[in-house]
Amino acid sequence: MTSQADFHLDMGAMALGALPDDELAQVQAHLETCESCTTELAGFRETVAMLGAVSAETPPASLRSSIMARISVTPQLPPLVTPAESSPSPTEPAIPAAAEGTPDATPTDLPDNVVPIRRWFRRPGALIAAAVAAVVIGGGAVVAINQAGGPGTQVAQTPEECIAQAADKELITPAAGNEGSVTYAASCSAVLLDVTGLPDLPDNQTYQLWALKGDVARSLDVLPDASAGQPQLVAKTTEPGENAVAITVEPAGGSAQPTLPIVWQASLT
Amino acid sequence: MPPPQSSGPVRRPSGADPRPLSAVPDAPFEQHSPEELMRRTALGQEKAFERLYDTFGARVFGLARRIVRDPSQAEEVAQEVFLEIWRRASRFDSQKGSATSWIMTLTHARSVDRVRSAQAATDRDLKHAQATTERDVDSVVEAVEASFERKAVQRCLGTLTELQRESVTLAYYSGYTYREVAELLTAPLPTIKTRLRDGLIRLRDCLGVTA
Repeated sequence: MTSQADFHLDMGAMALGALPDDELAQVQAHLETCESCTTELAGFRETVAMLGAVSAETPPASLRSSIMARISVTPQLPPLVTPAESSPSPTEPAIPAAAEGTPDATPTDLPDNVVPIRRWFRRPGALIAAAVAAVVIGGGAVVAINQAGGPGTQVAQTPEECIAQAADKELITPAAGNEGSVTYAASCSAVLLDVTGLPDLPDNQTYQLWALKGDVARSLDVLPDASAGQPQLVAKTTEPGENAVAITVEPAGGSAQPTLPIVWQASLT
Repeated sequence: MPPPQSSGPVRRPSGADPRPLSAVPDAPFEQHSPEELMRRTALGQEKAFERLYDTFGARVFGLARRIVRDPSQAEEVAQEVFLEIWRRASRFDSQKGSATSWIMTLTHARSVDRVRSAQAATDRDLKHAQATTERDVDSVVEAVEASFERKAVQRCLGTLTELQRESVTLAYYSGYTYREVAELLTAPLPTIKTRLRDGLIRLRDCLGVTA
């Protein structure tokens, strides 16, 4: 009774954790053969994570100490060892259906490695691009940071090389703050920022660059040259869903989360 | 461009602000993405795990609280989630999705597990649940903080039809299966699946998720 179209219909419910167990196994099996379903599911999951963030609420301080005390006596699982030339086992759940000791727990559709690795490789602008971040400071030396590591990471070119060759690159004028420019190439999942013209900051402050996605800000870099009132050129990879880049003023050394207000922002869409 | 004020930028009091964007002035700067923090956590680096907690604690606790409602149970769920992040960090693969997506999916699943196990003995009072959830729909749309990122989520939720938003909210924040949503809304099963998917497509496109 289940056609290809029906399976696509399931991706919304699956991303929302709303598929009953009896349908889940069938859908997961289908995902192994349906690249477009896999892609759609991944995008839905990123979307749903942003919905979840809306409810953010500071937990009691005791939770942190309690968790840290627990992990100090909790062993970690070893990584899955994947034989060369084969995909991860499709049946190994990335997250187990239920933690040990949870009575009556409902198996969940957890997911993550129902997404075969190779499919991601084929997706332009997908997360694979986020695995590598490269920085150009002052137009000079290139520092490549391989964040994900692991087998199969493909590093064909740096973001700035990709942007230079991209047919879809576009020049974006910042929305907040009048100086500088942004070149964005969706096909590269990368931005090249020229942050010339930011005012000089006192020594105890620094500019920090962020990628914004929903209510999540990811630190891209601190900008020492710009903080000193100098021009600075920065190339960065963006991750799926990130739709703006922004600059805030932070204490020297930078912050874990942006301090409002945003002094400079450019939308990537 | 507005120059930085001499008194420094406006900071929200970190203790009073539950939002992810709250300032963490004393945190040592670590320019690590959540994915990098996951990788380091997998290597047993407790500092990286602490940073993960500081990054995701409010989101994990907040979502758990929203779903299980009881604060002490939400704390238990959050603790369970973070212990699982610690234990399973080596299984996270950033090539398959973001750390945020992985952690929030885990949080949702564990929260729903908790609700279901707590309710295994008694059937849910659907009428009560529906009344409660109608309030939730409003709060999702209206109670979001007036900051740039929350505005985006708010605006994008507003692009859904009311039926889509209701179905998505019941499934996600109340933890219902799509069949239960169909029962609550007296709608055919395929209709609900369609609403959920179409609703997420709109949200995804509106929020600029490129996957």
